[in-house]
Amino acid sequence: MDLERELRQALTRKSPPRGFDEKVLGRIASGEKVALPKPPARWTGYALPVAASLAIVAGGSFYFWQHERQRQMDAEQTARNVVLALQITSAKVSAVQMKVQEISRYERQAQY
Amino acid sequence: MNARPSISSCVLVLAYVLFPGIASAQGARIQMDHLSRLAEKATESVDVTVDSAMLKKSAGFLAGRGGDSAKLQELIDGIRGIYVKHFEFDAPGAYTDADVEAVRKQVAREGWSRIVGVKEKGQLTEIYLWKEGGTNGGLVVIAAEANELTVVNIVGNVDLASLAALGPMIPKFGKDK
Repeated sequence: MDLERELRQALTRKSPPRGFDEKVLGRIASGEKVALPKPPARWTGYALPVAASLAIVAGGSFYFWQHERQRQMDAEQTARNVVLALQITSAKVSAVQMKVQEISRYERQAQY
Repeated sequence: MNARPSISSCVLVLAYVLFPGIASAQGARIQMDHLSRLAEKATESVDVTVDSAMLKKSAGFLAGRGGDSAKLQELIDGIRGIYVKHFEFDAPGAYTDADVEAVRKQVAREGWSRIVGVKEKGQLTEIYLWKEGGTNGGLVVIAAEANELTVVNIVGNVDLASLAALGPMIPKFGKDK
C-alpha cells in the first residue's frame, strides 16, 4: 500500500517553480552560451594501437637484447673454459717434458 | 692410487674389451664419464667439455685478449674439441687404478700411440697421440698423482710444442673457476 502511495506521489504532475520560464527566457535573451561537451580528439582513436605497437617493439627489443647478452655470456664462459683446459693441458705437457729432459740428462751423465 | 676398482670402471673396461668396435668408432674422442663421480670426493674439480661448435662461438672472445692470442687462436684453429677432467683430493686413494685403466684401455687401441710415459714415486704421466691420415688428430694426457687426477682429451690437430709453450701467453680472463 505504501509503495502505491509513494509511486502516485512521485508521478504526480508538478508545476515548475514560479518565475522559471522568465528565468529561461532571460538567459536566452542575454546570449549566455552553454558549453556543450567536446567531441573526443582524433588522436585518441590511435592511442591504443600506437601504445600496443610501442609495447610490442619495446618487448621485442628487450627480448633480443637479453638473448644476445646471454649468447655473449655463454661464449665468454666457453672461452674461459677453453683457456682453463689449455692451461691445465699445457701445465701437464710441460711438466712431463721437463721430467723427460731431466731423465735424458741423467742418462747422458751416467753414460760418461 | 687405490687398487680397489669401482663397479662402473669395471663395467666400462669390460665393455671396451667385449665390444672393441664401440671404441674404434670414436676416433680421437675418448669417454671419461666414469670419472665424473670423483667430483663428489674432490676438494677441487674442473670439468670442461667444449665441442667444435662451442669453440667457434668462443673464438671472438679469445681474439684480442692480450697475451699472444694470435698464437692461441692458431692452436685452437686445428682443434675440434677439448675435454678435461681434473680432480684434486684431500687424501690419497680417492680414485682407483681401474678409473685410470678405463682411460688407458681406450688409448690402447689401434690409431693411438704413446709418445711419453713417465712413472715415478706413485705418479703416472702419459701422453698419447691419435694419428689421422699421417697427421696428428688428437691427444690424450693422463696425469695421475696420489692426490690428483687429470685426464685431457683434445680432438683435432694439436701441436704439442706450441701447447707446452702456451702457459705464459694464455690471455687472462680474471679469477674464474
